[in-house]
Amino acid sequence: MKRFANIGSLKWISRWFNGLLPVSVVLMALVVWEISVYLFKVPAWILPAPTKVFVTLIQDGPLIMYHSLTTIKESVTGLLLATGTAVTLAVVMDSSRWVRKAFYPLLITSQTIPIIALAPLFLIWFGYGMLPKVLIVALVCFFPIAVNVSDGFREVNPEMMKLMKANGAKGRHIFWKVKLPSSLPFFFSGMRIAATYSVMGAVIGEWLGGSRGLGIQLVRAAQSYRTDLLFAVIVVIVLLSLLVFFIVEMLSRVMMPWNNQS
Amino acid sequence: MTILRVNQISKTYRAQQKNIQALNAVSLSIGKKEFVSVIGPSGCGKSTLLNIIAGIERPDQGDILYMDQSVTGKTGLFGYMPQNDVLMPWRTVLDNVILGLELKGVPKGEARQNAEHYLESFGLIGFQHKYPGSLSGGMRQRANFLRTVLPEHPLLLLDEPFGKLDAITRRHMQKWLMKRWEELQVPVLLITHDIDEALFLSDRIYMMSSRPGSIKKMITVPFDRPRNSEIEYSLTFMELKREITGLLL
Ligand SMILES: Nc1ncnc2c1ncn2[C@@H]1O[C@H](COP(=O)(O)OP(=O)(O)OP(=O)(O)O)[C@@H](O)[C@H]1O
Ligand SMILES: [Mg+2]
Repeated sequence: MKRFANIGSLKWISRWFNGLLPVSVVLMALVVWEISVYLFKVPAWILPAPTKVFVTLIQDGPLIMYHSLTTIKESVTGLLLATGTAVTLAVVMDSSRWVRKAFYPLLITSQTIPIIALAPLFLIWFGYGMLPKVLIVALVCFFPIAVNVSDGFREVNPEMMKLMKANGAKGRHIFWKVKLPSSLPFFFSGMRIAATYSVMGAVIGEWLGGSRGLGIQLVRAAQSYRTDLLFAVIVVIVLLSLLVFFIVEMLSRVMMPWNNQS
Repeated sequence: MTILRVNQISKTYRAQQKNIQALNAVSLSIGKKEFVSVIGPSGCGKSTLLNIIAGIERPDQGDILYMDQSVTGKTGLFGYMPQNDVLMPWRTVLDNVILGLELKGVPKGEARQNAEHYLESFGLIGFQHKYPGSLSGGMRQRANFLRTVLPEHPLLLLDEPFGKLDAITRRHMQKWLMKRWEELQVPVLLITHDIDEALFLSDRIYMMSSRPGSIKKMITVPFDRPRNSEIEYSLTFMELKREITGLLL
């Protein structure tokens, strides 16, 4: 019993250690950064000290929050839109071999279109509001979800299909009872990638034009040499991306409880 | 009385380069309340035969008669247990075993209630709300078997149900299957490549040749029921075992 307890606590410590490792690396880098800035007297408009960035983050907090809300709205709407269309397309592609053959290459090709070139086009077509940003987010997030779900539908255990058919299952039974649940892990690996892209997509969209959003704030900060604000906004973008990722991760645990039971 | 008749079944798979003939004019029959085994070397077409009876593959020639009616290519008639254990990882054990009932249109709640009665004798009590990932090999096969039995099909098709278990567990499972079968009173067609298993469980054994599979010989196993493991040390058992081994090698 005692040995087990020891092993248990060791595991617990090692998990904490694994979590602390990247954090301590970042902290160390921040310290070196801070010291260098003071030591070499780097002007703040070239490289502000981390503490300065932190102060800006607090002082300009309300304004950053105001812009963040727009970016969050665009990211989430775009991600949801992408999820809906991607899953629909994957289901349609799965319904017939010919549809799949027709669409799969197009899907891959669509991914090679540079977003940075499409974004201005979207601005011309859809103006400076939220819509073009949402569409850019959706475009970026669409691909990883569609490809993963589509592959997931094809990776169904063939013995399971035999079992279903032997029991007289119809196509819709096979879809709801086998294909959908067995493609969930694939769906979530697509979602994880899409989640990390979503905030970035929104920022790129805003960067090109508009009146609200973190992308706009980035442009304004750069134009007025507010490098501290620039860094503060970058920090917020990273945190938001992590937040979306975390939400997707939680969702995957809730929707696939069989993966958590050891 | 015969309930199932397999009539001159032939099947050839067309692969890219060459054709693989899996079955060549296989015929056999299963009587009401009879336990029949098919034994043969690996790759001789045993699973193919079972899949054809289950209706999920079509023969090139021949037909399957159930109660003298052709059921060739018809699914949903018989209980089918595939060679590899397929429990759905996203369903609890209880929800896995009711799959057959569900597909027959029985409402989930009713199906679950029905299944609860069997948990005890299938050694699954306490595990019904767990996911199959946490079950042992023997338990998994008992769950697979319960799923096959629950819809009360008039015939069970079992494809090497214990093939992947260790020797001791397999032994337990064979005795256990014997008990269940004596209770259930349902005809069984068992695929196996274990001679002891076939002799211990069956009323009759069909021996298949290597590919293309055809029936080499049929043996009637004379032991009375209910049986116990003592029969394995009898002279008759030894002699039958020698005969089958000689034919298969
Ligand atoms: N879908 C298929 N396409 C092509 N060849 C196949 C297919 N299914 C089976 N075969 C071939 O047909 C032969 C018989 O296969 P089958 O699975 O019925 O053998 P088996 O007797 O069940 O073997 P085992 O004891 O290993 O389970 C094998 O040579 C196999 O490679
Ligand atoms: Mg087989």
